[in-house]
Amino acid sequence: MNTHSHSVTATGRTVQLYPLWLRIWHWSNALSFLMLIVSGASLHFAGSAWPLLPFDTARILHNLFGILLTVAYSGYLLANLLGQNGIHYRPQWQGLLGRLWQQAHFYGVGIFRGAPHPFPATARCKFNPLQQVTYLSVMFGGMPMLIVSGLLFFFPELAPERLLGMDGLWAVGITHYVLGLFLTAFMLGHIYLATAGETLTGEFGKMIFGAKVGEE
Amino acid sequence: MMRLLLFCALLLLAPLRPLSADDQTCLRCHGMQSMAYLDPHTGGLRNLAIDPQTMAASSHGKLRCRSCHGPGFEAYPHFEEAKREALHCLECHKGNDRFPYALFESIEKGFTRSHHARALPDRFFCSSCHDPHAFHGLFQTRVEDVPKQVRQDNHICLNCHHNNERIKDMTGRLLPTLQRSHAWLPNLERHWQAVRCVECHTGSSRPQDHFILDKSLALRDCVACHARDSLLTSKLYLYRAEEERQKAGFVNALVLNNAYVIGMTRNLWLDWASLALLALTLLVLLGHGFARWLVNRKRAASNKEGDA
Repeated sequence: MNTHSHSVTATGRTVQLYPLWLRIWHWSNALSFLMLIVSGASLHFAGSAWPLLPFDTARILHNLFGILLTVAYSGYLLANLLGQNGIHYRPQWQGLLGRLWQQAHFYGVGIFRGAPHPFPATARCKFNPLQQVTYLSVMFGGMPMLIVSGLLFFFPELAPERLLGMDGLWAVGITHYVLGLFLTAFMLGHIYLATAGETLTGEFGKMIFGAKVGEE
Repeated sequence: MMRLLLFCALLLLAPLRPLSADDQTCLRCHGMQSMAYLDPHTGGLRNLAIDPQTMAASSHGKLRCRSCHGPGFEAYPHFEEAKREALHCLECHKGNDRFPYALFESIEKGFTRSHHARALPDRFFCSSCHDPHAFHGLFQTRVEDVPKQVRQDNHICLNCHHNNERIKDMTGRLLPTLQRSHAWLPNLERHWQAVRCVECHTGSSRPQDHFILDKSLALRDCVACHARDSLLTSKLYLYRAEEERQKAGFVNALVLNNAYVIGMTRNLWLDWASLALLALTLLVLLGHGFARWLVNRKRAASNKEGDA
C-alpha cells in the first residue's frame, strides 16, 4: 500500500522497508487468514444451502490454520517489540487528526485528480497516517483478541462461566465471530488499497521482493 | 436418649405421608438398606431396597406399594410367578388425562421399535431405565439448568452402559467402552456434559422419543447440531428456549436465541448484519475502483488527444 517510489540518498545508504522475515510472515498470515475465513464461514453457516466445506474438513482446517496463524503472530509480535519494525506503528499524536483527514481526502478526492500521495514512505515511517492507525488497532488490538478468543475454544474450561450476563463461551464465540468479520472487511480494504499505489501491482511487488528507501 | 432419637426420627419423617399398614409391611423388609438377594443365574447381587424418603419425593410418591405390585406379592414368600411378572406401567400412564398429547402412546410406540425392546424382549422394561421408586417426571417439571438435565438423563443410560457387570447381566456379553465407541467424537467429555445420549441415539426429533436406535444407526453428523436448525433446538434446548423467552422477554430471547452450541453464534440477525457489512465493504471498494478506472481512462484519452 505504500505509494512512494524507491529512492536512494546521496550517501547511498538504504533501509529495507519489508525485510525477508516480514514478507514471509505477511504471506503466511495472508494464507492462514484466507483459509480461516473459508473454514470459519463453513463452520458458521454449516447446514445451509451455500457451497461450503464439509463440517469435519472445515473444523480441521480451522484448527490447523488457527495454530499456524498464532505461531506466526507470536513471531511477528516479538520481532516488532524487539526489532526496528515496531517504530512504524508508533503514531505521532500531535496533529494526527489533521493528517488522517488529509489522507482520507486523498482517497476520496485527490486520487481521482491525479494528486500526489500526501505521505510517501520514509525510513522512519512507511505507513501513511490512516494505515498506521488501522494497522496499529488491527495488529495489536483486533488480532490478539481474535487469537485469544479462538484459543479459548481449544481450552473451553478456561472460558468464564458467565460474561456480561451471558453464557461465557457464547460471549467468546460472538467476540470471535464479530472480530473475524471486521478483520475480513479490513482484509478486503487492505487488498484493494494495495492497488492504489503508483501502479496497480507495484505494492504487491514490494511485499514480494522488498523495497528499499534512502536512510534519513 | 431413646426419646430424643425417637423425636428426631419423627421430625425427619413428618413431611412424608403416613404409611398404610400394607406399605409398612412391605417396608419392614424392603426398607432395609441391605435388602438384596444373590441372583442364581448371574451370581450377582440384586438390590431390593427402597428408600422411603426417595420414594415419597418421587413422581410415584403418593402411590401404595400394592398399586403396582399385584396380588402375588401379598404373601411372603412372594409367588414365583409374581416375581417374574413385569410392571404394567402403561396401564396407568396410557389414556391418562394428566399426560396430554397421547404422550405415553407415543412413548410405547417408540419403545416397541427400539433396539432395547427388540434385542432384549423379555428383559427390558420401563423400569430398566426409570427406577419407579425414585423417578421424577423429567419433562413435566420446568428445566432450570440444562447441564443438570443432561446429567440426570445421561445417568439413566450410564447406569448400564458405564457398568460392565450390568451390561453382562442384561445381555450376556461385554460391550466396548464408551470412550472407544465414541472415539470419533471430538471433545468427548465436553459433548457428554452438554448433550444427552438420546439426542444422537433416537430415531426422531420428538423430545420424549424412546425409539433408541441400534448403535450402527446412531447419528454421526456434526452439522445436525452445529447448524442453525440444530437437532438440539427441537429436543433438549426447546425447554431452555421456553425459559429464556419467559425470563428475557420475546425480543431479547430472539436475539439471544439458540446461542448455546459451541462454536456457533447462531443468531440470524447477526448473520444478516455481517453479510450486509461485507456486501457494503465490497460495494464501496468496487465503486471506488470503478471510479478510478473511469477517471484514468478519461485522463489517458485526454493525454492522447494532447499528444496528437
